[in-house]
Amino acid sequence: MSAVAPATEAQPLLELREVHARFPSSAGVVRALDGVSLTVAHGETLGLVGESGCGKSTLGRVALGLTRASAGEVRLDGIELTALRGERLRQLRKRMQMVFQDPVSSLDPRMTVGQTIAEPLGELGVVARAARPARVRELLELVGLPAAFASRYPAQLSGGQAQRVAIARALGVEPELLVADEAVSAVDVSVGAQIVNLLDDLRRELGIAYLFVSHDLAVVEHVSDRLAVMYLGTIVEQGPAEQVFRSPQHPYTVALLSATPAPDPAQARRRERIILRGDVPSPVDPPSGCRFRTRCPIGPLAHPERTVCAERAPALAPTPAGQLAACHFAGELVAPVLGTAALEHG
Amino acid sequence: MAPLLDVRELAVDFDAPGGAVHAVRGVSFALAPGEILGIVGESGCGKSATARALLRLIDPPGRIVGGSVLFEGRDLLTVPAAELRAVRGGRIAMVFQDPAKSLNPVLTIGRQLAAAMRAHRRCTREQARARACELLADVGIADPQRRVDQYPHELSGGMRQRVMIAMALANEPALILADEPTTALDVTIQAQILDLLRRINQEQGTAIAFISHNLGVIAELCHRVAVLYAGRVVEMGSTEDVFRAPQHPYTRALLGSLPAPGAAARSRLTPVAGAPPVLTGAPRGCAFAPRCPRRIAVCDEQDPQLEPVRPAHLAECWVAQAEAAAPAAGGLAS
Repeated sequence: MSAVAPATEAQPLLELREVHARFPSSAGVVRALDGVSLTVAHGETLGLVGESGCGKSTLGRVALGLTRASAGEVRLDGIELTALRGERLRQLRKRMQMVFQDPVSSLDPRMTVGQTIAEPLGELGVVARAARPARVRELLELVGLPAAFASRYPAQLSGGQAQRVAIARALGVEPELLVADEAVSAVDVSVGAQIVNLLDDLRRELGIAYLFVSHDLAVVEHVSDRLAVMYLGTIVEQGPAEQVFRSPQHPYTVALLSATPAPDPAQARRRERIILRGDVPSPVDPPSGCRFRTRCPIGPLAHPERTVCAERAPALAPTPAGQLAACHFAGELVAPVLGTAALEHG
Repeated sequence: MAPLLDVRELAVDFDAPGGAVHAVRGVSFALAPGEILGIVGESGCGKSATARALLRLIDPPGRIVGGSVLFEGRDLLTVPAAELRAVRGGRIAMVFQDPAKSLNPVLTIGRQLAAAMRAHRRCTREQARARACELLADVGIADPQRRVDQYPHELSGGMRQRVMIAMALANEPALILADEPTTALDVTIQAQILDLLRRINQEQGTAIAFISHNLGVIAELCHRVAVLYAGRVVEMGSTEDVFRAPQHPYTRALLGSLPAPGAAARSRLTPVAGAPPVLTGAPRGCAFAPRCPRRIAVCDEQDPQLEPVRPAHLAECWVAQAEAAAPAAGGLAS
């Protein structure tokens, strides 16, 4: 029991502390995660946003112990995951599950829906063989599919139906944490809305916590209690979702929100766009100091005297606005359009 | 002004074991010179088949089964192959979703740009290279002299899409057909590409037909928009009108299923009920009727046609048309 941390009244369900993840590649060592810390409380939804290569999917995998952290601590309910092996790790896995982006390719094409959903029930030994068909029916009903779907194959499902099956499979072991990695990104808008509603129902009925990984800010805003914004292997801003969306403090968050197209032509015309220059640098050789400085609209590109950006990596620290931001000049860049949007809707 | 492109009753079938799937079922729209028209819809609505059919790029088992595509006075569906080849990549250029698949991995960027130019005009190797550098600079690629000698794998996804756009611009097209050109890109890179397309449209007057499933991107970029459902244009009008006052129940449902920015977190989303129809056989009545909250008897009996319901705003809906025709009750009646 040495891995169990002393329980406190507000022990988070998931806690990552200074997690690093490094992978060898032909170009050198990829620093996918570089000192990431975050928590997810019981029943809470943490939205994790960022662009390709920022490390958000790796973070999801590390949280579940599917990818091992190179350094740092990952705790589920206080239990240190990185130290666990074999049966103990397997037992812990019951408490957390994952749903992937591409529902059709995440299902085994040779297994029926029923077999797919029943598999983890047997693997993790949670439901006796005889009771499994009944449990499969229950799970199908929970995700809004008819029981007859148990005999179908993945090829006979639409994208939305396949994603429901993947969710039913994940729910079978009654997890407390579900990592949803771009779970609504590959489906159509109208289907995405169904999946978002389903996840919300499950949260309310079963008290599941989500680590909701997505590049789609509109969906993340809709589902999240708190938000973490990642850039090149680090968290640059973290705080209550509403607060971060209303008043982002890190220039990258401001740019990301500004770049997100809104389905409203009037707003689109009004807005001042902040268009970042260039591409995300390689995680093999990230910039010194602040990793965002090579694209930052308020960094050395615009203000050559701001040498601190290249010299010192800013820590994720509290801002006057309330949330955490990792920027030497946090709060300086404001997004005009967000104020307008908030006014209109509020 | 005469339209640059006039598409009438375009129809595309895909032969399948269970009978032909009618992917595009009589699509009509026009594009004015210098205009950006958005073509939006969900998977299977026929938007990509429509785009490809305009240049006869439908491969078997698909085939174009009807309609006309008038462009600069000629019907592209009937012109001889040689003439069509001159139009493709010449007066009409294309940009597709995945730049990695559209570029040849074993040729340098410069060679590919030169090939695009030399397919349509005579120029020396030196001229082609100089023009390639110019084009790369035009689309915002820094250090074009170095990039022109690089291979596609040495470029990021956003840069490859810029190269595709440079290639599209090589022969000063009147029209760019862009099929989901930003779908594979990150949002900050997407913003760069949309900005570039907007600039090309404004500075060079190039018309753009922009095909996308992303309503936000369409709202940002397009002057007018055509909404596709089940192989038909169900609504068409200015972007402002279609997004602010949608007339077709499908457009309303689609916009309603999006999470509204700034709205209360966890307010319930309203998905479109049901699923799109299977487009085999000859469906009777409106294809959206089975999912439509405003359906009336005639919807199951007769096909509606795309007709004006407000000035310059068309909808293919019996209910919207009836409301438009009825004397406004205490409204705008004079």
